[in-house]
Amino acid sequence: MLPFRTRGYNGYGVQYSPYFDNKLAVATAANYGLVGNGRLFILNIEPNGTIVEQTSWETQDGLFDLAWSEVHENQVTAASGDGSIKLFDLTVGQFPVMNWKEHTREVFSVNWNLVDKTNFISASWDGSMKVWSPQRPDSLLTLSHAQDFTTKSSPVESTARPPLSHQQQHQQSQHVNTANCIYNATFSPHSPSTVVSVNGSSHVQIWDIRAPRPLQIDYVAHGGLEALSCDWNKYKPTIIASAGTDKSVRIWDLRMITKIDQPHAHAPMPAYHIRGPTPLNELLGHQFAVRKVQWSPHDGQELISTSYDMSVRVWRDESNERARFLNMKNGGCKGVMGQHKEFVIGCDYSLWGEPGWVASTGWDEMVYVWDSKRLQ
Amino acid sequence: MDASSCGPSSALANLSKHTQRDNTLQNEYAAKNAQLRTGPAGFRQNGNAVDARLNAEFHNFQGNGLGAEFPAFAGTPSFQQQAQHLNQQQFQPNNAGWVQDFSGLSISNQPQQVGHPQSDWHQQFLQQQQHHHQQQQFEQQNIQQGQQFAPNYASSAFSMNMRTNLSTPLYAQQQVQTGASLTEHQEIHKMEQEKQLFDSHFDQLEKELNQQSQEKPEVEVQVDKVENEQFAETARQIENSLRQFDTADAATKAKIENSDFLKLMSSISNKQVVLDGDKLVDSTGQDIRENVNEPLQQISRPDYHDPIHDIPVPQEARPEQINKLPDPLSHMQDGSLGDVYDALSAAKVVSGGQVKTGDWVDEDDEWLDMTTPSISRPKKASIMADHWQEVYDDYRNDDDFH
Repeated sequence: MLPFRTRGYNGYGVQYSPYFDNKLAVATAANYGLVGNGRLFILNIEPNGTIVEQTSWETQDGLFDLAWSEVHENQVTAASGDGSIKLFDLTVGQFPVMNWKEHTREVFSVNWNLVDKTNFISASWDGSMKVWSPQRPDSLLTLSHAQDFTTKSSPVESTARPPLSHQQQHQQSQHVNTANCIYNATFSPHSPSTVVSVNGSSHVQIWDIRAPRPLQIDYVAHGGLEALSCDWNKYKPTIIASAGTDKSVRIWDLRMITKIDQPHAHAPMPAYHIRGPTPLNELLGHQFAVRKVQWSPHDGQELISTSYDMSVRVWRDESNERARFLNMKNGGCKGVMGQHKEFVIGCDYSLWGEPGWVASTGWDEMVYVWDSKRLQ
Repeated sequence: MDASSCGPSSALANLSKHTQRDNTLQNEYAAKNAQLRTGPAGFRQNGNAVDARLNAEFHNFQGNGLGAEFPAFAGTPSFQQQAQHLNQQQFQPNNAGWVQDFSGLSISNQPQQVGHPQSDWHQQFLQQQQHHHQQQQFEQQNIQQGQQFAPNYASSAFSMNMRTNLSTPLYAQQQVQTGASLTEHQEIHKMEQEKQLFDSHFDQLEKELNQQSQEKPEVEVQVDKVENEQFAETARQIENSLRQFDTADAATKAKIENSDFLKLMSSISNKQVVLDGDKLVDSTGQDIRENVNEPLQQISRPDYHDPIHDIPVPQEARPEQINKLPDPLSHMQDGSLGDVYDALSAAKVVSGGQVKTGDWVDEDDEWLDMTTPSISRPKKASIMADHWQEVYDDYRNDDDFH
């Protein structure tokens, strides 16, 4: 297990470079991301097993996520709390080479298109997702959805009330509504135009960015509680995993999500839909909300998840999307990594070398690189 | 701002350029167009311009009101116009009777005569119309004289056409004229009122802005207070929800108890740590990040001027293979010689400025340089003895040597 301390900055996201087997980027924010600035670290894993900082950039606001460019080995995008997205170049010190500012609230996730490779998507708390090209100063496309007032995290009586005042200080006293926040948006590794996103009103949404009405599938995935993360299975194009504040990781087969109940843009989800469709598999074990879930790039049945219970768990999903009755019942949690002393926020599988190497980061200002196969 | 400078040097100058432009021609044109729309083209240009008396009359008329005047004159209908028409029609005995009949029957002609028979401008207008009419009728007479044997019905038909053509516009035009003067007059009033309204609004706004700027610090303090209150409340909720969590897992429990984040949350809920701008400060006003166990000041920031790619040293290099001499090109960054193609500039870059052009290129033709007096030009120090230098120079400069 290789440690690195991002001193003074609490980790939010980590990703392996798609070009170098020993390079990591870590997005961090001071004061746990509550207030203050952020810092993007580029780390090198040395042959002697130490992790050293190659370079880093300080930003005005906390950084919540990052994505390496798939077309340029020296470029990284970072999502900032002030609503901006910044593109950094490893050979350019101190300042970002691009800065996009269109989102009105915190940008919580950025994800590079793995198939097209020329664009990336950002998801923000302002309820919209935007597709960007690194060459262009403006976004290419904006995706947003109608708010669902029927879920537990955004019940009608608290969210659908008309605003009582236009004065700022009175607005602030109202309950903070996270139902519209999009926490994560990820391009499919199988299609250049398919995106999965999760939001604060428990919905998992599948988008086709070519379609005139891009929302393709929309369902409640975590029983009305906030859904925080989602990822595509790298081997099975219709399988996704989602995680949320109901402490569970759920595996879904998109072919089994009925489109009949898909609501109109103007009509809320029918009441019976609070329960939502049935997942292919459910992985239980985390004691607090699950913050991030990611499928292994080497194994279609393995995934890791980070959680507010300060642990990272490695899971084996034995469900068979072709024949559910053939489930082996021997899947589940394969290991717990408990080295982190605070909430674990970000994680990433290494694409390189021996399969199973993982990097994780969290609010204890630590980045750990470890082997998911060698957990007790 | 002088008019000769063509480019606007400031926004104000640009504005004044616009405002000072001579627009009289456009205005005239626009005014003429407006007039054309409201009445016959020649009405005002014939010298019958709206004068003070006319305005007074109009005011009087307006003040009394049409409704008030109407009953007074309703009983005494004026046949002025009809009489005039009769006079005119006497030149045309053939169809005069018919026209009289027609005028008498004409519904559209009546109200205008009843409405304002006294008004001077109305008569002026009528006179003009009549003048116009007479001209046309004179022409018609000529035609009739020319066509003595023309059948009666033809001329009567012609005349009928004239009358029908004129009767309707006469009324309509007058109405339009009245309406136009009404709006014209009202517009002036309206503009004045609007101006007053604007002025009062601006005054009010200015007052409000002044008040706001005076009150602002107070409001900000209040907002800060509210924010900190909410922040503490949220922190309390987070702390409670995590501390109340009962887990059988001893490790997780210990972690929760030792969590720095939860300690921060509890000190925020106790107001020991508060929000101050984009910082979290403790009770002494110090940024909490300054007293973490390892102060931030000790973090060594990488020197961005250092080359990012270290020179790779082979891992299994034997001691005798390691080059002990310093790399003479260590200060060169990768790729920094990319645009250097000739040996001289390469030497200049590599030597770090020690190699100069003069060392490589003979500066024999410096006598061509007339900018400095040749005496003051420093003599280049020669590395050879004087006589050898002379021999060398002779050899270099001797064009006959072959």
